Amino acid sequence: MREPVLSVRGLSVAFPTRRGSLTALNDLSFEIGKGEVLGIIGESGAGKSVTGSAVIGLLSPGRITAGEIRLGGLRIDGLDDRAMRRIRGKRIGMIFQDPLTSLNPLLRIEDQLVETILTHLNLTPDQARIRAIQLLDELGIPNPAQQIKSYPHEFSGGMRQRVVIALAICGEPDLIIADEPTTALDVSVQAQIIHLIKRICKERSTSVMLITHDMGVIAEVADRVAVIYAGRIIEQGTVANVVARPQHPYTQGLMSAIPPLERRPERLTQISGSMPRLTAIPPGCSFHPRCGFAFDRCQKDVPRLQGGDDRAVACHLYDEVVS
Amino acid sequence: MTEAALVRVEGLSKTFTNRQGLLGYVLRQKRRSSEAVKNVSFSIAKGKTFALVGESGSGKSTIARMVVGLLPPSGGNVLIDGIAMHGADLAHARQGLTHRIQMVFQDPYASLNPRWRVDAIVSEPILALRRETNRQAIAQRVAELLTLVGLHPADAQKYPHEFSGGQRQRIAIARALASDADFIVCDEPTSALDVSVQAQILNLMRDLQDRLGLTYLFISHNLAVVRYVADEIGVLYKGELVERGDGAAIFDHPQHAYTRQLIAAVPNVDALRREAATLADDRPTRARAEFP
Repeated sequence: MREPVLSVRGLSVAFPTRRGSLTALNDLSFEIGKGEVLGIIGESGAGKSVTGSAVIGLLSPGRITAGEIRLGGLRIDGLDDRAMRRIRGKRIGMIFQDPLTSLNPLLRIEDQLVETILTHLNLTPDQARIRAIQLLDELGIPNPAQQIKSYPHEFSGGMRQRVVIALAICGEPDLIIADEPTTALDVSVQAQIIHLIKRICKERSTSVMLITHDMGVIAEVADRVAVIYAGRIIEQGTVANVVARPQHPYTQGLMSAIPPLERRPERLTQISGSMPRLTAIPPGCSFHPRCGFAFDRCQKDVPRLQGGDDRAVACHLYDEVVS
Repeated sequence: MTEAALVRVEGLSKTFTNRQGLLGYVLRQKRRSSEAVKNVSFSIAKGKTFALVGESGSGKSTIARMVVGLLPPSGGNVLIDGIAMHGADLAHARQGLTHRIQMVFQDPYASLNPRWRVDAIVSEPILALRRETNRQAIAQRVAELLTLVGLHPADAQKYPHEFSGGQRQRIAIARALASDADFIVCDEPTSALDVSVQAQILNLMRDLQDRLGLTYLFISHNLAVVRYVADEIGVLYKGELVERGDGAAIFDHPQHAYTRQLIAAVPNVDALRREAATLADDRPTRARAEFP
């Protein structure tokens, strides 16, 4: 396999608190290949956003306690602020959940785009302006030469998110981190934005780390997916494998908890309890108190992620049976 | 169906008019108004669930607020058990109704007073509506309610911050049931929750409906959730009810272009699931043995 665009090995992240340090991520490893969309899925508090923040170096006050992050072979964890700033925006673009808060309300769209383009590309202001208008056009904003003069509040949510995407891709990055890019949007707008992200990445063969809680979004956009639970990846693999034929009891529970659109079941399968807080992560497999299949080993040993690129699962049920 | 209807919404409309400032008055500017809800009618049979689905700004919450009487309509009326919620004899007519209608809100982090203990939160409707005055009886009732929604009676002594989002929503449901309500308006009750917890709450709401014969008006933007909970669904678009019918009718044979568009837009795992069902079990031995 060629050099992946992003490679994360054994990443652990801790946050200092008054009562000692809390481990938010524990031994995370994954790779994103060129032009690939990796979905990171988890419920609130699982650590999916922290994963994104760790990659772009915006973790403070948390810190990386172990592991390494490589962007195209270059190690980027532990870079100083100045070096990291050159990577952010230029080599890694970012799309956040709420397009209203990621745009400056006091600046015209034009100013924000041109500023970002000038920072990252060697262009004259006039060229940058033309580039900005091209980008907006490419992202489906009608009449971009006029619209670029608008302020963010004059745009609808979907339009704003298009501008945010324009900001994310204007430095022509290798990787885009999209943290819940469609959660704040209505369903029909969500569908447009999802397809837009998909199209843009295909055309530019940009890699994407798509952080979301929505399996539906993953199923539509991602090539591979990593399921995070209480700071660990518990299942990873191709979307076809993980979404359609999940192996980990948590992923299975999560999938069957999603109400289907095609029929009306008598009852939804539910997982009892909720995700543990970081202060009280159970020993062994962190899912065992909620798991219907837990046996003695689950309470003691942390299961390792075993398997290949297409499918890996961290569950003692899949340990080789020793006879 | 209409004969057993508990709730009847008849030609409900709401127009919001901008407040006119002094300048506008001096310049004799016309006030701007927007029609949030246009001539919406539906009825909900006793013990059934009617769901309103629509995108933001479609008027779902405005309808909910008019149905519970928090907002006066510009036209039309809401009849509950034949009694009009809005109109001339307002105060008198509503007296018998208030305790029967309760609401569950979207965000359980915002809808519970963080400085009140759970017992105070749950017993507030009982006290406010004078359903019971004996303190011991109230404590007894709170314990009953907490058990009913899957919490422990001892949880009455705790504060909201000690609970997870799903547990908080259970507290909100217990509060809604406290005054012996039989009609509950749920405004996006699970959209702030995680999927696995959402399933718990939706199942709980269904169980409570079966046990207590509750009638729900369920407001949501999530079509899959709506399909699961609702006996009948109304699709709202720009304040108008563009389509109405049972789940099978709406989802399998949508008539209105907007409904079709809405259903098509939902990012969906069903297709992948279907594909999976046709594939053979390739799981390892141990898992195959232990999973059903």
